[in-house]
Amino acid sequence: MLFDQVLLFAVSRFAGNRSNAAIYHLITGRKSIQTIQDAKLFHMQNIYGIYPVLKKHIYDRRIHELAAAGLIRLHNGERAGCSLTEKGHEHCNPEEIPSYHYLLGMAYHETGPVFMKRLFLYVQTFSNTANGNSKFIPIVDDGAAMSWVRTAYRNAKGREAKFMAQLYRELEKILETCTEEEANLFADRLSGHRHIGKSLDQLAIEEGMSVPDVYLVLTAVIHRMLSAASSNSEQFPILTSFASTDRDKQTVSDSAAVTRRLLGQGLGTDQVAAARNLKENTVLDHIVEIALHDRHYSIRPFVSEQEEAQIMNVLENVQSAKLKEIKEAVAGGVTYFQIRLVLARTNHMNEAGAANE
Amino acid sequence: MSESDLGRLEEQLHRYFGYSAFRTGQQQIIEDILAGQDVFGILPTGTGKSVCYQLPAKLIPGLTIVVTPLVSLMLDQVKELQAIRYKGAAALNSFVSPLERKRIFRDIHMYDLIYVSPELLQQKEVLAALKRTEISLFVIDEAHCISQWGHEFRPDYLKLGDILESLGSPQVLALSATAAPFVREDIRRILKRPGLLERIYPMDRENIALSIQPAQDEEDKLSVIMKWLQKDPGPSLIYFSSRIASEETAQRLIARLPDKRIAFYHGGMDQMDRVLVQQQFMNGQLDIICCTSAFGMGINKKDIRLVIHYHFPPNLESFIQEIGRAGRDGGNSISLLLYNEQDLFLTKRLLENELPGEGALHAIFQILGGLVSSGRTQIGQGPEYQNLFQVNETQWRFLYYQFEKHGIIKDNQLVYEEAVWKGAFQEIQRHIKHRMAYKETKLSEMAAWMMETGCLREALYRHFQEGFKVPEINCCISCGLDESLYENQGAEMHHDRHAASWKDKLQAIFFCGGVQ
Repeated sequence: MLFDQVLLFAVSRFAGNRSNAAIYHLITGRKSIQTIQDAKLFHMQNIYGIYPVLKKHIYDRRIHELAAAGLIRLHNGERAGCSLTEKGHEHCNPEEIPSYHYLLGMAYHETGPVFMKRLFLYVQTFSNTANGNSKFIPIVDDGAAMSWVRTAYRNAKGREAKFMAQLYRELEKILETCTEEEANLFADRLSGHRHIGKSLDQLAIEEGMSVPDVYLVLTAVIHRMLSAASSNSEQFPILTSFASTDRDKQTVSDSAAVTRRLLGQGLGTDQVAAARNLKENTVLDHIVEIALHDRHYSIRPFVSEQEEAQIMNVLENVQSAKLKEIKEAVAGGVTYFQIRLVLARTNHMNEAGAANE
Repeated sequence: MSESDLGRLEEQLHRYFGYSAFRTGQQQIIEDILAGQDVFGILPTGTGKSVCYQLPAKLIPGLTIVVTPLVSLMLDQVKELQAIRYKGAAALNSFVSPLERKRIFRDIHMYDLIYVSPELLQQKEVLAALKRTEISLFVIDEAHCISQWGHEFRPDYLKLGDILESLGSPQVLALSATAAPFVREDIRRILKRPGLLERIYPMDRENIALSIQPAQDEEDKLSVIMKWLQKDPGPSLIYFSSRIASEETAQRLIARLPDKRIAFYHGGMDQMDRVLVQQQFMNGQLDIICCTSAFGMGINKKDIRLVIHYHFPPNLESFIQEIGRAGRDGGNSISLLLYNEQDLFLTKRLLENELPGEGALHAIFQILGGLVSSGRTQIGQGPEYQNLFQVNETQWRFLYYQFEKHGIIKDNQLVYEEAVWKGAFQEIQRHIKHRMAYKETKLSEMAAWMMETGCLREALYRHFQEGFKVPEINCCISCGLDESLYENQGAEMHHDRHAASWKDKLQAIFFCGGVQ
């Protein structure tokens, strides 16, 4: 259900303006400028990166099944996209699924998996040690999560029961606002002392759901926990601690950082390209990346105030358009690079809104 | 070794592992290692092969490297070591993040034991890090993989001999549960260690009865399996030759046997889900696992009672390994192989798919020639080349290794020399024929065993060792089996909590120490 609805939703938003691969990139959270901008331009921040481990062949198969069921129409030609049929429009109603409303992909696509691993491992560790068992096989194979939980455990040693009671209260409070199905899936996934949680396949078979649906519902519940914790950290201290990261600020790639330094020394984009033996387009990509991550980075050397205003004007009027169409609609001619820079800027303007969505 | 020395060794065993005595073969092999010998140890499954290097790793200065075929196997071992507080062990594999890897390399001299895949050993960065430290022991676990997999799936296994030289020729320990004399010879040759001291312990397991049953078709197999499972045989494994078959049959069994706890397991599953299924089985939350050969190596569950082969493996070695997962506690257990004539064709086709055919090789050389004449000499191991040459992943890995070996590919570049290519073509063609013939021989050994009308035990082990222990009761289907011996073996079930609310489930985990 949820998986299909997410796909139909994305198809309806793109409305044939992007290839099928773009939907896949969006859902798996590809970190390309194009994909991030697509998420914002077409208002699909909520589903960006919600299913990073989705395999391409599973995605392709489902798209074709939806087409075979007459819900979407596949367009022909190179890089063809797809659009909803009339029947598809009737069936596309993601807002009727409760867990859909919890999804906040753009905000939590990175924190979510980290949060989940820490939570599972924390519960398994505390449940075991509270029962005097320190020899158990951790269900999460992730060095970073393990060392995080180890530290948390050391700080809580001797008071495990108190921490467990607190975490129980926090989870209970949130799960009470979820549906029975959501709460049950979540509870079945947890491991503790002498009890190992269920795999996605097992949950899918038991509940008569598809594996992608189980995955997405669990992701949605995690997002709900994250947003509850971030809006009320005093009420959810332990969940809040699972969400903390060392690098709350996203950093740009090393290569983009070098480009930024050279630009700062007064080199032009062509000179940076020559100095680093890169194509000039790569250097331009770096600049967009920097603008996307650093709201204080001035784009003025590359886009004049007037050009920016023109692009903004077109963006407001032709919302769901391809870069090419935007370019054609701007009088006086601007480059793709300039459009992308302005888009990167508008991201920041929308960001405050996106986090509170 | 004197009495007091032995006492000290046992003391160390107890200190690190909590065991009070060595099991068959362990002590002899450890003594050989401490005396500086290169050793080839063949120990039956379930007798604690890993102690043979985990203990020496603690006792001798320098690093012990363990080459392991499966990432899951590596992770299990490291986790088990962590669980007993054995420090200084790490696993290097593709799941380890670059940062974590850098950290391990930086502190390399702090480790006693590092597990690594043969593929990772090919990376310059990994080799360079290992060269910076003193390597005192180089272990090849599941060493039969060198011969069984090296020639096709895992050509990097064939390079272990060169790796050993580049690491300064450290002492070697090869370990396996099954290796016929021919395979042992192959391993010695590939490792370039003709002097490996063989320590072979009999691999026959008298507590595992052997049964073969013909089946008309899939439905027939399913009903035989259901008949067995309904008798409550205890923890059971069912082996399949494909991932999809393991999933589908598991789902059918789940639908038909609602009171049994059944799951599937294969190498295509997500890492965490693999751990969950494995641990549920260890923890007694599952009765039956439908799996591929990816399940089992390194799984240390002692009370598996029944191993069914829905599909038979391509050789007797694999079969012995897989049934050897049963009855490690010494209790009565049984192996049941289901056989249908179609299966032979299926297995044959799987084998043939591992290598490119004769016609395909011709076409591949033509494409190679085309690449060279159009100046596109850059080449790699990626999937785009599988498409280009119309071969599968295994075949491309095999070919790439062969092309490197014969000088057609050097440093990811095609190098054209007419005479070299002609010779290489013939060599590779001959090699493929040779390998196919070898595999077919192994397969026909397996097939012949399935047709055996005499004692199955005698027929199974005669390829590997002289003689075997004759069980007092229940040897095999030919000698006579009392199947009631394997009934009502299920342990107490922790009952599923279908009726329980999510709050009950959470409370059980948070406050009551799990579900009872």
